[in-house]
This record gives sequence, structure tokens and C-alpha cells, in this order.
Amino acid sequence: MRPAWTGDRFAARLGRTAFGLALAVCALWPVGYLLGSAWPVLFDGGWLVHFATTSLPRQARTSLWVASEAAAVALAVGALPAVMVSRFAFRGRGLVSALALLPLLYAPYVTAGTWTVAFSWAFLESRHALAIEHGLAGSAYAFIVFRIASARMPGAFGELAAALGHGPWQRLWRVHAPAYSVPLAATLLIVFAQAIGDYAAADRLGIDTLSVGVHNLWLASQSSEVAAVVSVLLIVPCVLLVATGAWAGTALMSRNPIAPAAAAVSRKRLSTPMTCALVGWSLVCSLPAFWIPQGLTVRWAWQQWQRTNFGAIAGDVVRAATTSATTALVVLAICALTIAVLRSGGRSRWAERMPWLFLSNYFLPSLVLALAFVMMSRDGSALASWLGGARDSRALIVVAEALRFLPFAMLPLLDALRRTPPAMVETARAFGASPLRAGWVAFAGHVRPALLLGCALVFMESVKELDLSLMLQPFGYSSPALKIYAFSRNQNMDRAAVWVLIGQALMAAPIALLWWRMGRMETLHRG
Amino acid sequence: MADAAACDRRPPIVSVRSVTRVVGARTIVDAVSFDIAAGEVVAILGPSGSGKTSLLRMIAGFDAPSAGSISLFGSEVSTAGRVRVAPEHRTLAIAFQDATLYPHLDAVGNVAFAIRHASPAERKRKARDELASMGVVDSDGRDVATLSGGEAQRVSLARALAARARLLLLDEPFGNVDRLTRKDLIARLKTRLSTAAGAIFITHDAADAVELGARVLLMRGGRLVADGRPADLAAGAAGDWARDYLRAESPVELRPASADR
Repeated sequence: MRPAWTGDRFAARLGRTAFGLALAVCALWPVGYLLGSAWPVLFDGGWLVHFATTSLPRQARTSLWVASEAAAVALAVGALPAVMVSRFAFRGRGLVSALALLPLLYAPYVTAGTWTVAFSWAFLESRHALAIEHGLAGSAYAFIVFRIASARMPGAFGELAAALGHGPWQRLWRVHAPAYSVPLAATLLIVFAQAIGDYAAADRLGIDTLSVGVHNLWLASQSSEVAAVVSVLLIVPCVLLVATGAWAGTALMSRNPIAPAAAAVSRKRLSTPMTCALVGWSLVCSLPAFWIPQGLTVRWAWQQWQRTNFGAIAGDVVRAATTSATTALVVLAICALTIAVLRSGGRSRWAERMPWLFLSNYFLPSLVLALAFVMMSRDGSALASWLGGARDSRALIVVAEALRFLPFAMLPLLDALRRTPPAMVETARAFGASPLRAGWVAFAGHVRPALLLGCALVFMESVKELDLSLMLQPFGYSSPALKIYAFSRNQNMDRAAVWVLIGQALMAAPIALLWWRMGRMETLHRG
Repeated sequence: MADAAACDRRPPIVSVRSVTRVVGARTIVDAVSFDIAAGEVVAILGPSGSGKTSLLRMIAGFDAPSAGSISLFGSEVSTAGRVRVAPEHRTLAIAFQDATLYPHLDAVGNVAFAIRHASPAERKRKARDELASMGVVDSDGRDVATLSGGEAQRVSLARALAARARLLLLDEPFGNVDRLTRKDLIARLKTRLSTAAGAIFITHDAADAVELGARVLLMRGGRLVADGRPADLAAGAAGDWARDYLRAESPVELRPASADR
């Protein structure tokens, strides 16, 4: 006899697969469009040979060097304090966490502008300075990723190896290195994506990177198709990065069922000299990442304060804030839909893997993503006619930013879903809760922190985001990022400083939320 | 298994002297002293929060005692506030209650991790043998995430035994397994313990101590309240609380001391 629920289960499976496919289409829409646009001219006229022999290989090498150096800086500045804060108890843990998150308030193009205007050292306009700026910006992400991973890592891993006779170096190589491979991979992916995709900071310092090359080629050729061909070349490393990201997300860290609370119990006390060294290291690193630029910004803003007409710019600030908030809400809506479809355990193979494709929009330089949207919405296109008047609104920026920053919320959400035992929903149902109530009760503990963290990051990245706004801004639209870029290009950092502070004011609440959530992780984020 | 009288004549391999552990304002372990002779198997029993695991962690060298000292094989390894000999130099092996298998290694890899001074192929072969001796078959390439609770515990015990350590520390090794698996594991462990220099295991079940012929150290509120054979303690040799606790925690009736031998 066929069980009564077979039909329901089949329908649910079909629904999940359809949802997964819809996500895949959304995720690959810009990349697919670029590929389609480039295809007719890709093998025509020897474009590929031309690109391989021009400046692009050198630009690619420069980008890779910058990204590699930035990753080293991010790990040294962010990962080390994260592991220490998770594994040890010491006075000043909250301070170290706060210092590690502060670089989120500065986009690399702002730091680059501040440094170069304030100091006239040649080093500050070098490739290494660009790498340090990206590394400092990425260090906050390194901290977040390593903090979460470390909190889930049982202290018994190292103790067991020690008890079995393995010395410190052997433990590092055979236990800790594999155990930390996932946060390491995640940090490298984030820093590489940001450093390779950056246009504004590299352009500000005059470093000829890949993104600058794509932009210049586009301007020089005045041909979208030519730029699309170059973009297609970037899609290959992007696919490799997505594959690595997908591996990292489904490997060790998610499988480890140990609750963060377990690691907190075994937290050991850090000696006073080590505490002083760690707090000192965090303070020293925060000087170039936050305190020095912040001091300069406040000074410049103070000088400019009397001449700023805040009444005139209030509208711009509100519009920029609502754009970022809308982006975060769109991301939240997609995530909520994902929860509703995937539900407990996230055991739908296809639907669960499709959201990883959104990473392609994060790894693709934002300039290229912007290019895709410009091409898709040009006069006479299907999207332009479908959007009508909305094409000249902020809708395109919101959609492009949501596609780009969705992984920040989606990937922690998938991880939280995977770690939610289906029995939690069943238990709630057994106690008489409705399916909706049972879902809420079961997922609230796991999913809410992940969503809050993700949406806070999406909002902050949206406030700082420049390239998409630069290319897709409707007539009369302005944002802190656009203003800073415009003023800093003309060396008017004093006028940009006011906008830096406005941007920081918008990001204050999300960063405070992040800091608070990190501190409460051991007690609330049980896996 | 060695009997109590014989054990008394042998030099101790573990010597715990007035060991105290204070965390914050709480005294977790309070002036505990005992010796363990070579070849002896000791079970530490007691209610949750009585300081059993803290004591084991200090013997392993993971934590330092706040007061007192610990000697292993005649050498002082821990003194007040200081771990003199690091865990990796204490020639011991440990198995935790939650198995703690490394997720980046398969079942064979986890056991091979404990085998040292051998070629990779030799380590693998020995690991497979060790797993087979604990009843785990088809272990090659098995992802530890796919192991059941009982299998994971067998792998964890196989890893501890594979180290060929002089002292075996087992923290509730049968805590997460059903009674049938527990009986099987105890039987397998019993044959292996006969060749070990000594073993300390934490358990809630006095029957485990009886099965392994172990001497029992009973802890309560961080203090050592009884030391002896389970049947004697159950008969009231160490007071009413020890008797009631052992009887309550053992699903089988503990036999008199004479029948126990």
C-alpha cells in the first residue's frame, strides 16, 4: 500500500528542486548574459590572442600579488586574535574583538585616500600599500570567520593529540592545520575576491590591476562586447573560486557538531605577558586600519563642519540608507524563502547547493557585474522595456547589490540549517505547535543569529559599495561612497571626511550588533 | 587482574598527593591522594560534578593542580600551579566520552594517528588490526561522520589502545553506547588491559568496575570518599553513602567480596 504521505513528499521535493533551479537562474543571470554577449566575438578576430599578448597578463599578476599580500596581512591581523579570543580567557577580550571589527568601517578606497592625502611617502602609493589596505579591510572578515570556526572547535582535539605523544609542531601540522583549513580557505576567498575585484582603491593609487585594466579597456574601446570578452576571461578563475568555496562550506566546519558552549567551557587563562602582547598587537594593527584614518577624518570633518549644509544633504543620506536597507531586506526575503523551502536539516541536495552559485557574483569584480547590468538594461533591451521607468530608479543598484552580497547571509544560513536537527521541529510538533510555530521555535536559535550577522554585513557592504553605484546610479542619486570617491579624486579629503563620518554613522548599529553577537556566540549559537 | 594485596607490594606508577584544583571560587578537586600500582585498573566513580574528569585531566597534564603533586612512573610530573612534564611526554593514551574523532581523518587514519615510529603502511596495517580487535570491520576509507555512536566509541578505544601507552586514561568510554555494545567493549578491553601497565577509567556504572576487576575510587564534592573493591564498598565498608550510591548506580546486584574474586 502506498503511504499517504508519498505524494506530499514528492511535491515537496519537486518544490525544492524548482526553488533550487530558480536560485541558480538568478545567481547565474549576469554571468550568463556576459557569456552570451561575448560569444559572437570571442573567437572572431583573435580576441583571445590579443588579450593574452597585451597588458592583461601583467595586470593579472599584479592583482594576484596584491591579493596574496593582502591575505597574509588579513590572517596576521584578524585570524590570530580570533583564535586567541575563542580559546583563552583574559582581561581585554571584548576590546580585542572590538578592535578587530573596526576596520569594517573603512573601505580600502577611503583608507587609500586618507593615507595619501595626509602623508607624502612614496610607499603609500605602492602596490604593497594597496595590499596592506585590502588586508586590513579583510582582517575583520578573517576575525569573524576564525572566531566562529574556533568557537566550534573542541579543545579536546589538541589535548588528545598531546596525550598520544604529539608535540606542538606535530599538533599544528596534523590537527590544527586541517581543522582550520576551512576558515583559512574562506578568508582567502573573501580577501582575494575583494582585492582582485577592487577598482576604486587601485585607481586611487594608480596601480594597474585587472579591474583597472577592464575599466580602461571598456572606456578605450567604447564597446560593451569587448569588455564582455575580458569579463568572460575573469569568469574562469571565478568558477574555480566558487568550487573552492562550495568545498569549504560543506567540509569540516559544518560537519563538526560540537557546540560553541563546549569550547567556552574549556577556555584556558592566558598569561599576563601573552595578554599584553595580544592586546598590544591588536592596538598596533588598529592604528593604520582605524585610529589614524579616523583621527584625520574627524579633524578634516571638523574643519569642514561649518561649511556643510546638512539640510541639503539629508535627502541624499536618507536615500542611500534606504537603498542599503532595501538591499538587506531583499537578501532577508530570499533567505526567508530559502528557510521555508529547505526547512529542517537542509537535506535537499540540489536546492542546498544552488545558493553557492551566488558566490560567482561576489567573486566576479563588481565592475564586471555592473557592466552586465548596464548591458542588460540598455535602451531597447528586454529588461529595459520590462522595467520601464523603474530602470532609472535605484532598483538596479538594489538588485545588483543583493546578488553580489547574498552569500554573506545565505552561506551562514545554510550552515545553520544544516546544524538544526530535524528532531527539534518534530519535538515542537509533538508538543502541539503548528508547523509555522514549530519551525520558528526550532530554527530561531540557529538561524536568527546567522541571519542577523549576514544582514548586518550586507547592509555595511552596501553602504561602502562603490563600483555598482558608480555605474548604475540613476540621475541625481548620491551616496556616501559616491561622494567620497568624487571628493577624494580631487584631493578634497576634507569634504569627503564628512561623508566618511556619515557612512560610519549608518554602519554604527550593525557593527555594534556584530560585536555583541560575537561576544554572545558561545551561549546562544549552540550547534 | 591483580588482586589488592599483590598491588600493594608493587611500586606505584601513579602517585597523587593532596591534589586540589580550584577554579574561580570553586574547589573542584579537594586534597585527593591515592596510588596506583603497576598492572592495576582503577575506576573513578561519583555523581556528576564530583571532580572525576578534572582529576583525570590533571593526571593527563591538561590542567595543573592548584595544590599537591602528581607523579607518574616515579617522576614528579605536576606540582602546584605547574605542569612539569607536558602531556605528550607522559607516555599515556586517552579516550574521551564523546569519541573526539578527527573529522579530517577516516577511521583507520584516526587509529593510525596514535601509532608512532612506524612507516605509513605499517601504521595503517596496525590500525586495521586494532580496529578489527575492537570489532570494527570494513574500516578503510570510512568517513567518521558516518559512524554510529557505538562504532565511533570503538574507534576511539582502538586509537587509545593502539598507542601502546604505559598508562591508559578512559573518560566514560562506555557512556554513549547501549548495554550490549558496552558488554562487548568491556570484554574486548579486558583482554587488552591485562597487558597494559595501568589504566584509569571514569564511569557511572559500578558494574563496569566489577567486570573489569577494577579497584574503585569514589568521589563526592571533589573529595575522595572511598577506595576499595566495588563489592566491599557496596557492602558498606566505606559508609552508608558509598553503599547507597554504588547500589543505585549499578543495574546488577554487586556480589560479596569473596565471590567477586
